[in-house]
Amino acid sequence: MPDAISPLRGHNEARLAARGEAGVVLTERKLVSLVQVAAWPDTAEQVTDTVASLVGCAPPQLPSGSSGDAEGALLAIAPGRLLVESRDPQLAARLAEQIGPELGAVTDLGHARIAIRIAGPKAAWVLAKGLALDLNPAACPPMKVAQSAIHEVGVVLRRLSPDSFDLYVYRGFALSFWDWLTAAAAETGYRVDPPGSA
Amino acid sequence: MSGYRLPSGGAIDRSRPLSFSFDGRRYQGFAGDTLASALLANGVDVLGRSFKYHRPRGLFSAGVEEPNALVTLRPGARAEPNTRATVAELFDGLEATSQNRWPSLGFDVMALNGLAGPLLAAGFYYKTFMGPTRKAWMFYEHFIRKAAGLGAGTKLPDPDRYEEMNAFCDVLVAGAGPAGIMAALAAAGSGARVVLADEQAELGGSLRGGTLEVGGTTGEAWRRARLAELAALDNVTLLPRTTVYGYYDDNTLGAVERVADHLATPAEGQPRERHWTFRARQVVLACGAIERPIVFGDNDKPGVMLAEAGRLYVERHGVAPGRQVALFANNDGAYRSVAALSAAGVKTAAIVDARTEIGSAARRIAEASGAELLLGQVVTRARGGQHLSGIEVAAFDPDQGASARGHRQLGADCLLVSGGWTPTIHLASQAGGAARWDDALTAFLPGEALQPWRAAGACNGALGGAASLAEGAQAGAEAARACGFAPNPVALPALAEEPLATAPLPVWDARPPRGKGKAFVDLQHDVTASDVSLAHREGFRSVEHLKRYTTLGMATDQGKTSNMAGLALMARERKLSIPEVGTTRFRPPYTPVALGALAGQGIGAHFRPTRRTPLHDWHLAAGAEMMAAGIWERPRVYYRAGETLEQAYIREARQVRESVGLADVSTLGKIDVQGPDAAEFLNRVYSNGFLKLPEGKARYGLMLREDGLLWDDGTTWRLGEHRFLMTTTTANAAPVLSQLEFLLAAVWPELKVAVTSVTEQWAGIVLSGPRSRDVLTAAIDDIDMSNAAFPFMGVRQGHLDGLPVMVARLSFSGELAYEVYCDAHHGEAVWTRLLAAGKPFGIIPYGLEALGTLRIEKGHVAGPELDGRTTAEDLGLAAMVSTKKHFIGSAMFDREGLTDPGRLKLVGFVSADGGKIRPGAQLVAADDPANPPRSLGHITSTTYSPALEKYIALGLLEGGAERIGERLVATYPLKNIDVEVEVVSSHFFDPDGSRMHA
Amino acid sequence: MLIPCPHCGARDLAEFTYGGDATKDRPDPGSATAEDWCDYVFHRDNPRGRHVEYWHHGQGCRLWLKVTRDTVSHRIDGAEIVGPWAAAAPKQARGVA
Repeated sequence: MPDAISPLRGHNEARLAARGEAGVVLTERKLVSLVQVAAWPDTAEQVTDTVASLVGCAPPQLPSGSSGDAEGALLAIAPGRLLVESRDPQLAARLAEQIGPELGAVTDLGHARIAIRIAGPKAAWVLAKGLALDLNPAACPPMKVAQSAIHEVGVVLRRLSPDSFDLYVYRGFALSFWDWLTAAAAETGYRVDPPGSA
Repeated sequence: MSGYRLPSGGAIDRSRPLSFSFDGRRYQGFAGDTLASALLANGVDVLGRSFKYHRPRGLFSAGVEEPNALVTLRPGARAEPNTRATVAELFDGLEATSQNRWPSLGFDVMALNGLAGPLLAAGFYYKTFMGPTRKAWMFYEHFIRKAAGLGAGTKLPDPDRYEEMNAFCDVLVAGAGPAGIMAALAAAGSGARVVLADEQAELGGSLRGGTLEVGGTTGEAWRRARLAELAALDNVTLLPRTTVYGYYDDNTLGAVERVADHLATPAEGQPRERHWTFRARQVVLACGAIERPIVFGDNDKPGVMLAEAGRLYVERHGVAPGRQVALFANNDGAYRSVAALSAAGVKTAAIVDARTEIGSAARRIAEASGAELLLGQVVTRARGGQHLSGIEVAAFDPDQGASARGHRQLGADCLLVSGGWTPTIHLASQAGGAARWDDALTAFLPGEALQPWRAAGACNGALGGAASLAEGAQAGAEAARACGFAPNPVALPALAEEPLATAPLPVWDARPPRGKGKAFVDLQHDVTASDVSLAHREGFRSVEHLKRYTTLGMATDQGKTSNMAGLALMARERKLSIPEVGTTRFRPPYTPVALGALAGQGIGAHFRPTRRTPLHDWHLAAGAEMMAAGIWERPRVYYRAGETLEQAYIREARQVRESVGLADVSTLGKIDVQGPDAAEFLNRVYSNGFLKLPEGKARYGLMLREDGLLWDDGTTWRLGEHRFLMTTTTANAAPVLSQLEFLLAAVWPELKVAVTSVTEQWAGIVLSGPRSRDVLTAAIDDIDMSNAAFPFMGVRQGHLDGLPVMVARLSFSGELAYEVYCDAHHGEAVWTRLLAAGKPFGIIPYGLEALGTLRIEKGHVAGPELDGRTTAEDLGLAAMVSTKKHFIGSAMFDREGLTDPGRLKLVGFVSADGGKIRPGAQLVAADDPANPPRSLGHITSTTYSPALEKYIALGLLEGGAERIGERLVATYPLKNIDVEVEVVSSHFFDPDGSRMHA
Repeated sequence: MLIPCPHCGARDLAEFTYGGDATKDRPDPGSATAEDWCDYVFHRDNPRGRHVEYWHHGQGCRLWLKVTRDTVSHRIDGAEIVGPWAAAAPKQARGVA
């Protein structure tokens, strides 16, 4: 099977663009599976539990929390809607097996978005250049999920720690967004780590 | 040449000399200077020419209110016109030039305008050039515009970066003078998130460089200590060089931080300016106050400046404004300037005060200075050539508000003027009710707060130091409390010196009746006191009319030093009080904001995001010319050497008809529609039936708007009993999804359906042409491609090189064709595999132009026909509109206006004379196309048809098919293009569809 | 302007699309007259003051909201989810963060 091609090919290779210390580190993460699960109002709890046990993590805190780790994670993106990331390449099929139309809808988005990690002491500062969200840890604690737009590009944002965030960006906008991000990070200096290393 | 550098003093670093130039001459200043203070220190007194009369002008202030000293900073691409020298921080190598003078500052031929003064009074241009003489304006405008004006901007692209920043806080404090610092301290101690922003290079406001004793030390030392305390707190952000310029809904405030304006060039990666959008829960406005001048004859002479400016140049920059200084005041506060001059060893020659009684502290200052104290008197006129040499002084009658005739002359090379203080209520006015009049201060104060802000300090009328500090502390604590924090009381510092009262005696125009010299109210727009009188005489009496008729307050300084005098003079004319005349509401921005700062990163390639298909890189490598389709980039044609655009698309289209081609259709909107009620939902959304669509089949569907007009079209594929893939046009992908979500939320909440955009999940490739089946048969081995097994409109799933693909047998081109969808990240692999499989058949990629050619030849409609004004019937699609079910648009599609036989209908056209038909051309009768009685319709889509070997077009025509065979003219008068066309069926090519069913 | 999305919290106006008057209900196609449809499709009040409007949080959770807004002051008094998920989040009172 041919390799998947990232929309950032030729742009996401490791490099240092920093004056002194890099304020942020940017990495395109390897996204094995990304699936959206949409439940019906009367099945939301059941579906969340089903997905959580299949992925092997706790249900996310509602309304807009997340749970899980690099192996598998659940992001609550809207009422009854979860974005599920996993290292299991068969995730979409497994979810579809367990969640029939009577419970909800399973949609594979593994190629629709790419995942970018932005980490470092200046991560929140750089994101705030385009994101009209309060990133103060009190308002946006680790594991919080938000859907918003950065410079008109829709993003799903997940805070991992005070200094690191995962962004899920639509494929077609990825390069445009990456250009914006590296321009925004020029002030603090940035480093790009090899794709898949985060 | 009156200003000079004092041997000591000032908050400047004398160990760091900086070299700069003004109009090509080199000068030296020090770190901590502004361009204004450095020029003053070098004795440069004429900094510009005035807007209308080209009179020489010098420094008038030391801050943002400066009306005169507008200069162009930096050469070349970084040139920035109309910068106030008073706020431009000096840096080594700064190049500044003066404006609005020709040929030079010293000799300006336009100064002749001054002699024509009476001619150029308010309303001159309107009266001269409107009405019968209006044509003359066309001729003179060029010369007039050249004569009046400001600096010229550069036409070179700005080499610097600008950025946006979003910030959230509990308490935003706008202004970091004594009140602002206390507010920040009080709020920060509670744990609230506090931002303290101030327009100046350093925070501190009037405390900067101040010698007044605060908390047992100098004001300068006190502010440094407090700012160090604030800087140490994690919950406090200090933003110097940041002007909060606008107050918007929901406590959103705009500010500009001049990150690198004080540097020759920004450091690598550093933005020149940063635009901040604050969303604050509470705001403290501590914006200070601006001193106001007094109107008298020739009050614009270089050497006349505000009293506070004189103090600041001495205390902050170690520069004396003159050798023989006079003060003209109407309040005790102004005597601080005399005290500062005395402390620096600068002689005050005379103090002219309109009042007969002054405070004891003021009197002590006056006596200690050795100045001649002239009470009950006013300055009626400034004397001198290009610079002040003396003043005329006369007795003042406070009852008449004017001076007596007859005067005495005094020598002076600098006159400091203080007419009291105008609180800076701009932000409060933007987010508040009508300003409140304070009789004692003769000033407007902030009105009712319509958003969660409170004002403190001088902008709230607390002009004295102690009151300002106390108000600040209280406002900060209250703001924190309003956010739910529990602030601890902060100790107020003691002030050692006796306060100087600031309530002024109202003196607006100090001239005697029929006094000599031009008496300026608005220095920047050259509006004089007599212009205000003229406006009154001519009936422009409301403040809004006064402003527009005279342009008072409409210059780049927005009347910061002139509005109050303008109001007062109009009040005098109308024999009303100032509050009865009223004031205009302030609008953002408080001070000018560079457009670059507002645009931020949104310029060039980032003006809006670019959307790329999974095949983008391949298209570029193949030499495709890309074109914008909305925000998508799509290949237009793939040029071969030497081809024109037309040759290229004709070759591509011909190859598809003859053999096979492939095109990127990844931009089509794709929506995953799932749920037990999915089929029912689609049946209500589309005008044609979807309930009985079998699995593994696709159907072309039409969407109408509620008003019955056509909205969008596309194919929808049934992938399972409860699962569909809907495709939409590229342009309507987002609106259709929003509409589906609306219907599921607001109209049919009982339906269990989930809709999700999967546009980005799939790469879409159309394979079109008689050999397309052969190509797919070679590339895919697990789908039976035979016509029987895989009929027209069939949908199949299979694999290509192990990659899962969905294949639908659809045709937009009219040829045997298939759409192949695969995972987006594998789009390039599938595309190149199909190209390889098609090589024996001469496969080629084709672009948007050829896609258009092929669909026009088939008479298929697209965006130009689905223009929001057409019905299904208009486009020959009436059979697709069910009369047997309810759907969106079913109630209105057959209403009277939409079934009128006179409506324009879709037909085809061929060029009868071989001319190229233009889209948008109007269809008119052929007999007299130059003077057609009316338009019969218009052309929507055009192409050269390789199949017909003619230029053809689709269009909307009155009468439609009834006119087939008629000759008309497609006229395009803007380009003088007339093409004779014959009306034909819109199905130009293969009308029975045998090719696509083959 | 900030709109207090019941799911996402107060968000900037730029994330939303205006969806029109929310005071009209779509007529029942089984019984509605031409006049009913005309009223639903074309007639809109233009109130000065309080108004109830649809807004779509397209750059957020993608929920449709009913927002109560003052057309003079732009003050927003609340927002609620429209449709089957209305019960999932309480009506958001004016919630400028």
